[in-house]
Amino acid sequence: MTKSQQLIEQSKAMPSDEPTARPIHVCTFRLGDALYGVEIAAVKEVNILPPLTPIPHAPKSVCGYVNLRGQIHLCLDLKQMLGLGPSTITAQTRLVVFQASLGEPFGVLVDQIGDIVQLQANQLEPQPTVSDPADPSQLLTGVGKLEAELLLLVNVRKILPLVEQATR
Amino acid sequence: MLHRLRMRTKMGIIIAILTVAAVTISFTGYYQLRQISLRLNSLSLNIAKIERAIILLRGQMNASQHNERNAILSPGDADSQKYADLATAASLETNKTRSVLKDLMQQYATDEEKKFFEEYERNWDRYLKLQQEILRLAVSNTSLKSEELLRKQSYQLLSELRASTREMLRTLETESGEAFKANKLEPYAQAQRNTRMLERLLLLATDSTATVGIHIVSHTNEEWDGLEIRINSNENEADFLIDEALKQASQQLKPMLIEFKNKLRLFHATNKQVLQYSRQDTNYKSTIMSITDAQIAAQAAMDALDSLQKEMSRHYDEELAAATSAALFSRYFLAIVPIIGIPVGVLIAGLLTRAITRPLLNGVEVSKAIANGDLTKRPHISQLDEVGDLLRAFDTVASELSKVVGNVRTYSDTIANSASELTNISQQLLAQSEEMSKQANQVSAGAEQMSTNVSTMAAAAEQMSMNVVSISTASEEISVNVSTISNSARETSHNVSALTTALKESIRDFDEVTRQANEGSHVTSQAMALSQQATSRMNSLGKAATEINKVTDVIKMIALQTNLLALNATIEATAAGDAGKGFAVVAHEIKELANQSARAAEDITTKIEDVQANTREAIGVIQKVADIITQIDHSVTNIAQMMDRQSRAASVSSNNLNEASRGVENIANSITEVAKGATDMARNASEAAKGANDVSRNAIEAARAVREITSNIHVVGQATRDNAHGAQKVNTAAHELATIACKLQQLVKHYKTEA
Repeated sequence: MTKSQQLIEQSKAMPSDEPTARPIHVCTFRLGDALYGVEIAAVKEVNILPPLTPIPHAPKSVCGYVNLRGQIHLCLDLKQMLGLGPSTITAQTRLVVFQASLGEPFGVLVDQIGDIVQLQANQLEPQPTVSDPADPSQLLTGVGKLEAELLLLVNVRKILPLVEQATR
Repeated sequence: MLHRLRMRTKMGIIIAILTVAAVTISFTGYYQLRQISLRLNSLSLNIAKIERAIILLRGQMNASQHNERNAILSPGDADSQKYADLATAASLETNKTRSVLKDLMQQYATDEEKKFFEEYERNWDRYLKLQQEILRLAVSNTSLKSEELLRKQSYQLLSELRASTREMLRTLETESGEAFKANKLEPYAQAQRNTRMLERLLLLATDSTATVGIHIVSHTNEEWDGLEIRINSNENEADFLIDEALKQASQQLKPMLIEFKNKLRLFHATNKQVLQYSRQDTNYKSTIMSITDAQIAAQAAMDALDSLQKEMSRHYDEELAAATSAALFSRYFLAIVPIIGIPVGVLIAGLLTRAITRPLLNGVEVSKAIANGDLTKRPHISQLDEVGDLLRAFDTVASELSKVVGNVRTYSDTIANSASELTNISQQLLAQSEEMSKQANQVSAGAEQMSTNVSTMAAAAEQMSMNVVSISTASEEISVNVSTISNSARETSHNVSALTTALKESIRDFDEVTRQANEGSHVTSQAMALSQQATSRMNSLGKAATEINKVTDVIKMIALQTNLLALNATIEATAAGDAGKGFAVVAHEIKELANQSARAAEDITTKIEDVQANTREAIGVIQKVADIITQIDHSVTNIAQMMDRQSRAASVSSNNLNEASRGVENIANSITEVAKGATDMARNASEAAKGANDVSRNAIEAARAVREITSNIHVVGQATRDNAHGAQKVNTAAHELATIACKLQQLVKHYKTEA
């Protein structure tokens, strides 16, 4: 048996029912007591919350504008968007800023920032699909199984469209 | 510029440079060569088309001109018309070819070429207009017509006129011969006149014909006008002559003249017709036009075409030269760009890799040193990118940590000093309170003795009172037994002396107690001062603890910032993929360090809170000690006052006793003078009784005061014990503080700092 054949046999033996067999890196944070996470590729940086400038007539899910090193970012209340009530700002509150490739530069408030964790493919379960497209739980894409608790994965790409929907 | 950019941007720049170079080379090469081939193809094709159109046009123009000349030169109307039609057809052909050429020019020609073409069109249009006119004139052919009319009709009529004239002349000759024979002069003359008139008429007609001939070959208006005047005058004269001839003509001649007149009229009319044609003079005009204006226009058109061809040839040469140079350029470009681009790309990539890896290795080395507790190591920072940010933040953390450790060390030393001082003070306090206890015990003993003395005194006073009552009773029995009285009086005197002695002893004891109390007061004020000193120490300790709290707040803040920084570094490193793995390890190390710093700060905060609680407790205890000492002070002052009062009461007693003693002695003296009367004695006895009662009352008061003093002394003892207990507590707190300071010192001893 050649080496490549061995490799093929090995890969067949591995439980790879997920389409992405590679492990993903997730930046974790807490909203209330629950643990949430976003793919690290979408995160630009994590920061202490700078002074907020509220926007008149904005929906509840928009906290305001913040100035990060001269660039204006939209600050969103992810907790509100997920139906967990409005965020209260504490010493632990952090601003997670996402990559500019997602459109308008924006970030979300989190109650507490966690670690960067690596999720293997077999630690991931897809989110049960919900038929109603306006349901905010559509923001969640999957559930990660960590040793201590479960991790809810947030789809960053759907945050801005949801806010636009709310504005309309 | 390069060190300001993000690493991803730098990598992107390298890839972009290489990609752009490759794409530029291939695209430029392909585009240039294709452009050259396309341009050459289209150029030769278009030039061929245009050249063909021009040659065709030239042929058609020549045909048109040729036919036009033929139309002018053809004598017959039919021939002229045929050639004119051919010329018009050729012109139409040129128009068609011209429109084809115009389309081609519009698409491919340069502005210069278009200009030449426009010039050609302008000239050719002018020529075409002239040609139409020429053809119209050529077809009408009037000169030839007039010549023909003259030759055929006028000459015919002229010969006829000549014939009829000759006939008439013959008739007239006959007539004149007959008249001459008949010798009739009148008719003869008439005939001769008519003959001359006829000859004149014939001359006139011949002249008119010749003039008409000249008229035909003339071409200017002046000539024509002159000739026509001559012809008109000829005709008028002829008309007049023929009318004159008719008037005088013979019967035989008359019909011949009328006929002649008619012919002459016809002749005149014919001449008029000829003149009319001759005046039009079309053949001459058309010829002139054909060889002047039209010829110039056609020549100009031809010249324009020539220029156009030359221009195109020049344009073609230029394009060929451009294509050759473009081919040369692309060949050089294809060779030079890779030769320059590849070394530059390789150089930049090498430089960037070096710029990333070197500071990272430096950072790893320094972080290892710091993890081992060596805070003196510092990274070398020259970068301005993310790695530089990380190293700078790391440097700030290390220096802050070093500063904090130094501060904690200083503060813990201060705490240790304070604790040891506090221990000293509490021990001093303990010693003082023991001394005080001893003093209190001495006071207690003095008081006890005093109590005994007072009791003795009271007993003596009682006895004295009783003795005085006995005296009183006995005084009533004076008469009974004077010697008994004398004995009693002596006994009383003796008793009073004993009482006085007891009182004196008591006063001495009071003085001793007062002295002791004063000494106690001194001790308490010393204890007060010590406790105040302890309180101020405790307060400075509390302040130091608050300072340390501020420092730990700073540490916590730094740890938080470092944590965030490490998190962002991890995000960047993960985003960079495999290239960021080493960077991720460093970020993780830094994060661990930040967490350790935060934990240490938390630890220190807890310890400091303990210190603060202990300090507060110690301050409370010291306050309590101070209160107790104040109470002791108060009690001691009370004792001193009581003693004073007691001393005064005892003095009063002593005075009264002396008075009593004097009274008793008086009694004794009086006994011998019993006879002096019982009233005296009774008075003296009652006086003595009063003094004895006073003594007794004072003794009772003294006993009460002594009891009070004893209870006060008990309070002092209790307070002293409390004080000793408080001092013990202070001592414990000080020991605890010393332990905490020691722990703090151990906590920071691990770190090596520059200070």
